Amino acid sequence: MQQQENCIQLGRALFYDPILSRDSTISCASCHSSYVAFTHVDHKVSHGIDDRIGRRNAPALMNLAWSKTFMWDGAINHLDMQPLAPITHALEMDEQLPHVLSKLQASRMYRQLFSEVFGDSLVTTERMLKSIAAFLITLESNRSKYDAVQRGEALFSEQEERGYQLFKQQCNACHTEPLFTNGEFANNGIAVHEDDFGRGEITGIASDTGLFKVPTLRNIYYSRPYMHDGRMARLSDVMLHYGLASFETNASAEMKRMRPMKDEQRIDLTAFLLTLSDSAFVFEKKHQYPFKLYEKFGVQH
Amino acid sequence: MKGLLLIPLWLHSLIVCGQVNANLEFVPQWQESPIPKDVFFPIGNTSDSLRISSLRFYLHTIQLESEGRVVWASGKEHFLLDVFEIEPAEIAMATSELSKCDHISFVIGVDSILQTTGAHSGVLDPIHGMYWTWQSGYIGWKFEGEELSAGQSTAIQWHVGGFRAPHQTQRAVRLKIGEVGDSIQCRIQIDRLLHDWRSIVPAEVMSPNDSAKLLADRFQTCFQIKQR
Ligand code: HEC
Ligand code: HEC
Repeated sequence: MQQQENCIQLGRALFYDPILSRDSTISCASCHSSYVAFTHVDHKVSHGIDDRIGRRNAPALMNLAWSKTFMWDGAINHLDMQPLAPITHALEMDEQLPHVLSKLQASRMYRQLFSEVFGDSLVTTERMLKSIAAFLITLESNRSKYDAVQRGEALFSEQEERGYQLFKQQCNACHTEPLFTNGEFANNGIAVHEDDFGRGEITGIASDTGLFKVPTLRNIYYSRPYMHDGRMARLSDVMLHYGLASFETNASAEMKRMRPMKDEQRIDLTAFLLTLSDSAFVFEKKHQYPFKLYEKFGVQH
Repeated sequence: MKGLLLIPLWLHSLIVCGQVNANLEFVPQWQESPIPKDVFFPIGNTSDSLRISSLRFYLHTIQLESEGRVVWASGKEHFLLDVFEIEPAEIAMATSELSKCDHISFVIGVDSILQTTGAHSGVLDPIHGMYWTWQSGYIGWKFEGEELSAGQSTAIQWHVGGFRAPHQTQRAVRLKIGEVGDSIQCRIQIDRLLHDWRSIVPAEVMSPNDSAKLLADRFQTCFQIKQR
């Protein structure tokens, strides 16, 4: 168990360390800040590493142990492999990865941390990836008001309850409780833009064009802006989109069943979505920048 | 020159109580001639020429058969072969029945289970540049080179992989072998891979798609055992 804990701490050190980027300026946390449920605060699309990443909005990171695929288009099929995409600059990892590993190997802190976890100080891709994944797995959000209500420890207000009922009719098919995603790919009726065909780019199947992974709605209040390209700035924009119930023709079948929502209904629904905010998660110390560890080794960023 | 070109890969074995040594060598050829690395050589009767800078591929489930029986198998271990590097990959192909073997088979590419189970080490470490980072999956084989045709140069870069339907690119190869000495020499007929390629695939194939599948089909037919 101590070994598992050490592994998580190593992953956390890596997550917050810009050493993973070529010029040591950007860390995972640059785009995934714990204070906004690990998304890129106020950035429509994240920038900093490469064009491919630059066209999409950084998703919030939580409850990843239950995800089958990662990225908006499901390009990544295992959490271990996720960090390779941001770490390597080019489409393929020619010299980047060896360089990262040698930087880590040269660091006293990482030699020590790797040997605490793996018994020797050798830095390998597999060890690095598994440690980051171990940290990511700990990002569990299940302490929202919604969760308290489900556990019988709290009650929804009347408005929240109305919103919840509406949610179950209109949204739950895709944003399925309790993860608030069914893990599938869908088209929620927003316009597909030329520069991003989503799932279709990965599978090469024509009918997958314009499908994106259904995102979780947990902590949605923190993770603005919204949609894969951050095109909607506020939750009210999203509500208007769904509330008008006039969708692009290639929207998924569930969208066709959606009924228009009046102003009050959209407000009720929003009130419910706010019960998915988990401030204990967002302010969890164990998920934050590991000051003490870096300090101990005199590491400064 | 020829001797050097035979070196590319050695699948060694040790002599273990009566068992026999065998090396499996892969030799890239253009028709009847071994191909030198990184040097332009003429192709066909025209003035066209080709230079290959890299040919690397994954290989697994190597089996030797004798009259329909598997007499030796490598198991699920994967090998990453760099046809133009001299570094030997070693594997014990020890079997007392080697002389009776009549077929060899192997699979080109990476097993699909290993494509979905996270980080691996050894030859499957993404550090070898045979893993797509932006999209999970190993590159089963890479061919990189340059073709000079009518004074025009075309860079060819084929990174062939894909394990999900409809773009699976693993291919099994089964070949008849003649008499086995202390080595089995497997030729890779690059002329077959490149034959009229422009009418089939683009010069750059970098992700799992229809072109990658076509290339995988072709590559499968390029292997040939030299009969002794
Ligand atoms: C330059 C900004 C940036 C950096 C740096 C970055 N990410 Fe991301 N991350 C993104 C974006 C954008 C996406 C979505 C990309 C897509 O869907 O194509 C993403 C997606 C993810 C996902 C998938 C989440 C899901 O539910 O699908 C995980 C996990 C993740 N990043 C972890 C990391 C880790 C670990 C690091 C550090 C090694 C990191 N990120 C560095 C921007 C970034
Ligand atoms: C057909 C399945 C489906 C239904 C039904 C559906 N959604 Fe979505 N939702 C999606 C998909 C897919 C996305 C991501 C779309 C994109 O970025 O292209 C999304 C995105 C969102 C987002 C933005 C999330 C983020 O992190 O950017 C919110 C908020 C949202 N939906 C709320 C709702 C609400 C509220 C309802 C019910 C009124 C609803 N959805 C119904 C599939 C659906």
